[in-house]
Amino acid sequence: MTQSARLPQGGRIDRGTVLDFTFDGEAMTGLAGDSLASALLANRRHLVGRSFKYHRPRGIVALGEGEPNALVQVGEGAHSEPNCRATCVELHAGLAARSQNRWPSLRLDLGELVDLASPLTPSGFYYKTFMGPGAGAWRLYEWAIRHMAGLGKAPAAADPDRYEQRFAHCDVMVVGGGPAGLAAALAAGRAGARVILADPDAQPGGHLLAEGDNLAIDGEPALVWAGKTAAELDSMPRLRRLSRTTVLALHAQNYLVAVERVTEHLGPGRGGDLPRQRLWRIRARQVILATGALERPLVFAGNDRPGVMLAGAARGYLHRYAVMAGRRVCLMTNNDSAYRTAIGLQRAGARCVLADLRGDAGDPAAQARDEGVEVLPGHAVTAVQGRRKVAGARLRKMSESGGAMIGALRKMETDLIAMSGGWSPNVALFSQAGGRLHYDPALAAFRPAAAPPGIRCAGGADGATSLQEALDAGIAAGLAAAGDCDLDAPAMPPVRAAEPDRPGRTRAVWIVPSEHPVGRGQKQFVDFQNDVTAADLQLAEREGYSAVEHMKRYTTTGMATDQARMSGMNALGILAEMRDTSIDRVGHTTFRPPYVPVAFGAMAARRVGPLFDPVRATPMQGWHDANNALYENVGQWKRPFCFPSPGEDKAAAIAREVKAVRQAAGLLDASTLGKIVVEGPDAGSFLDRLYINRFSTLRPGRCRYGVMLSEHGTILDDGVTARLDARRYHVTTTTGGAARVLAWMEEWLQTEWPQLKVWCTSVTDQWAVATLSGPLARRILAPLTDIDLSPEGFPFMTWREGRVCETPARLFRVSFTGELSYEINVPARYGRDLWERLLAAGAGQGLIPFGTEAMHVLRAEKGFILVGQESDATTTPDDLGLAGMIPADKGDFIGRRSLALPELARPDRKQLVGLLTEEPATVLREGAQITEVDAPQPRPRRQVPLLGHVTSSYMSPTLGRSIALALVKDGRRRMGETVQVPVMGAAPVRARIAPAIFHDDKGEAARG
Amino acid sequence: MAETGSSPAPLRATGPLASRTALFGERLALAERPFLGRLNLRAAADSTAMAMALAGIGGGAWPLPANRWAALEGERQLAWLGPDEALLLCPGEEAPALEARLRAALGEDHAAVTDVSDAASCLRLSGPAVLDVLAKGCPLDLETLPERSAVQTLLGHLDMLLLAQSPGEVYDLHVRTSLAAFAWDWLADAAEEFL
Repeated sequence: MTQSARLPQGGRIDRGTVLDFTFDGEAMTGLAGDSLASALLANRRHLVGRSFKYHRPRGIVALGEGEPNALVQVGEGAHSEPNCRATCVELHAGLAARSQNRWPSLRLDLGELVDLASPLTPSGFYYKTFMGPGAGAWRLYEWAIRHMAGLGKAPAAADPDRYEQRFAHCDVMVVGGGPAGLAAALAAGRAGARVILADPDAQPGGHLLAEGDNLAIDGEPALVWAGKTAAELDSMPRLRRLSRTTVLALHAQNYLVAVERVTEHLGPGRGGDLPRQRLWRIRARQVILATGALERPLVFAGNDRPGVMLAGAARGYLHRYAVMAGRRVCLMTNNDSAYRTAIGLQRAGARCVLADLRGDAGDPAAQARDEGVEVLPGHAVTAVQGRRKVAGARLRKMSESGGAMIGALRKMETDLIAMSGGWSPNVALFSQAGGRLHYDPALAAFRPAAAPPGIRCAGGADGATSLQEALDAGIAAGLAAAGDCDLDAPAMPPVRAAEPDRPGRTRAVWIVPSEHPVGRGQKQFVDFQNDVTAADLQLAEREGYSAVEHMKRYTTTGMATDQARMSGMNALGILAEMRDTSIDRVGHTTFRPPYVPVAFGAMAARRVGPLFDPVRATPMQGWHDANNALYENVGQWKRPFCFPSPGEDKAAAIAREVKAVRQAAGLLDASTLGKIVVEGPDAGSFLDRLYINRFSTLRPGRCRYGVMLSEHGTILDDGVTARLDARRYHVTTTTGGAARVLAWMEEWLQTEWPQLKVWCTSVTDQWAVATLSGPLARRILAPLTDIDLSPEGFPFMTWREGRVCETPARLFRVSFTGELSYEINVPARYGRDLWERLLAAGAGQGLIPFGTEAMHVLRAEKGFILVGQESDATTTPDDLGLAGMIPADKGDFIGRRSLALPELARPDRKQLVGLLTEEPATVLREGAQITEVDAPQPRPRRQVPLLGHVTSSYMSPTLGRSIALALVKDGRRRMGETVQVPVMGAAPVRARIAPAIFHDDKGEAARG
Repeated sequence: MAETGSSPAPLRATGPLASRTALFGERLALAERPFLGRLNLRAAADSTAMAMALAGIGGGAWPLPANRWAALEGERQLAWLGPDEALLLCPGEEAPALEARLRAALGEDHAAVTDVSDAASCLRLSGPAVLDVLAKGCPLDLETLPERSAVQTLLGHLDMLLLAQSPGEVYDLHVRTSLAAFAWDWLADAAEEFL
């Protein structure tokens, strides 16, 4: 058996199931029920990683989520995940883990040279050192720092695992499945509350899992009680027990986010249909935080050597996993809890020496001595021997005050130093939610004071130090929470705990004295994960970073994934001593979500691949898909950009489509246009107020182009509106503006003009729209419809209702291409067939489908604007030459008053013009800036006056040359002048300012 | 060439889910209810004209209780959308006649009736796992919704109108026609573990 540190019996593991795994390629075995950390310790592996800054060898310190050192890379290839706490990784067959932040190997890491140079790199060196010589130097520094300091590596490939999210609601949310949490859930559940109980562990019991069998509840071993309670909870139909679930955040109004490791523990690819992780978003009426307490390390010289471990962790490895973390054990404590570890290890065959920082250890010391533990009251570990593994310890008696060493030096050989610096209530979630904390000298820790509404703490999280206290508090919290949900909680008999010892006093010793002053001799680490020592904190204080949030940032204490879990309290104690003030006055840093790191995959969940963002499809989309359409995104729509023939490039396809519309006919899927029915006796007056032009005078059967403005007088949207009958209008908007315009209408109707009798109803999805455009449009459509298409019977800018292919349809004779056009509207279900029937009808006459880019070229040839392309949030109607649309006698409309502002009325604003390059084959870049012809080439730090910019630019197949639209300062007055468009890395392009219309300036084609 | 002589054949109807096939499992089923009739009704909450017009087509209170639907004559259902807005759902072939009757009954009163039958699609999700599937995308507490709830909510990042036909068992999801295929694919993905 390779697991040489495993005891032959005991533990809460499955000895029948041996699991193979590897660490840094070395094959090992563990047992089902092991964590990766316990399996490594069973194989006597203490050295598991290299520290963040100094590359110091590091070992396993903790038992669970507090672990600062044992961050490993788990899994291979795309499944690989960095920075996993070995203490929280459940072992599975075939698990492959690797150490991090070392090169070339964990045992021989060249980065360790940084440790030797550590006097050169105190806290803040980063800010002091990497300043010069030039602006480019930082890039080199960054490269070097990123290679030297760091954690694991993110895999390059996409995460192949499935992640999900779900919402949940409950009356009472219990966080933590230890004695207090189980008791709270039991009380609330029996009262009939809808309860969710979340616990990070796979097994119920919380810290009971780490304790020996001498704890009893209701006359049975405590874990038997935990198991029975969990079974009762599972039988309650309104209770959901989530194991392997860590609550990451507790936001305002009791909104919690938790991550459930659903199948992660099975190993990659073994989850079946179930996700690897599931992110829960929970709304709870009441929250009970039973998150327990976290043991603190002691700050002493050499305290980061592999083999220095929390006493509670050593006890947990012994009782839960039957792993002896050491056999010659030196313990140091400032409270009673470490005596349990000493007694447990001694009984399992270890030889223990316990240094108690308190001079007057009472009952537990006597008990321990009876078991054969050597107890040294008032003693401290002053130095540690061994580099990659603890080999020995030096102990000395301290003075009464704890300020000096007085006794003779004692050396001992040891393979494990177990430390306990006291227990801090785990208040991260409580504090996240806005709960106030106060410092309790008896605990030497912060504990909850004023709780936000609907939040309670119970058990260790609230400062309880005995099992009975935790159970009582859990029951009380559960009943109270149920009561606050208006449930009549039945009386619940008390649950009786039997504990072999009573909690004693904790003595705060923030820095354990050593043979040397702080900063000399061996390093005394406060934050293992971020490599911050007591000396670093003192330096920060001396340099003025004595406010707690300043000290955190200057030294990086409690940053990153540690979030002060391990380091926080000790850092505050040291800071308070230095400032010679109380810890309450020093205060504490802010606890932030997430409580533990969470995979991006869990946050993205199923919003990946085709489900990343909703896709809107027109009724014709199936045809487009089948006919080689290239798409462009327009809002959430995918619109065909062009339809290339086999072997044809985009430019050729667009040119072919433009020519077809000018010479024969083209068919455009215009279903995405926003459509709103505006109905009511005041509909006309309402539209008059929204648009710069007038709609109340529009006769039924006719259409009119309109432009609407924001209150600032700038263009918001445009479109053609048809009057359906005396009280109904069919308003169209831009594709992207549909929702905005409807909301705009509702806002004005509901907040400013509630007296207007108008209803607005979106019909965007109701109608499929096929726009048939081109000189042959009439000839193609005529055989399919009963509507009189003659120019007299159906003139330009009118609409008709009738039948197309024996199906009710509305036809609008409007034109965005400048050619004879019919926008054919049919109910969406007929769109696909209409499209195909029209194409079939026109196939012999040159009809082809065209996409949005051909449409853009066609409209640009005609100088028609695109809102958002020719206009931005500063563009007025006059800027685009549309001021003439405003009737002289028109009353108020939105934006009118702003148009009179001097800046908006200035005659030399940027105005829409055409640009014709001197070289006809040159197509300007959209967005390119425009300067005077004699302006110097722009370059960094040289200011060149700009005249405006190119808004649209295309190669025009109709004209056989490039065309562009631009906004140019005082453009209308400069007609015919030449300007210059600078091009990065090439000679500037010269272009002549021309009217913003390039084709059929009389508009005869559309009217024909 | 275009057809000549006699009038062309009528257009064929195709829904947005024509290429999707219904899903059936022991714990879950997903199917489309194609081509329902939908009339969007707008009228002030105190409109007696709308109340009378609805009475004329066989019942239906106006205004409805918020976030509820009411059963009308036959298979018709009237769902609350807002204090002055409701959606009348009916078999597709009834929609044109109902629209005409309501318009005639409302006359010149300030109300609007708009046929939006083609603007949305109805996806019916049913089976014991239905709440587990909806919980993946809908932030509401569906377990505690009252009977005959009609709620406008989210499915992932989509808007939907959700009608609880039989709480905990059968739900109708009304989504925009253009988003129906996406909604279907979203549901099919969420349903995978239950099929």
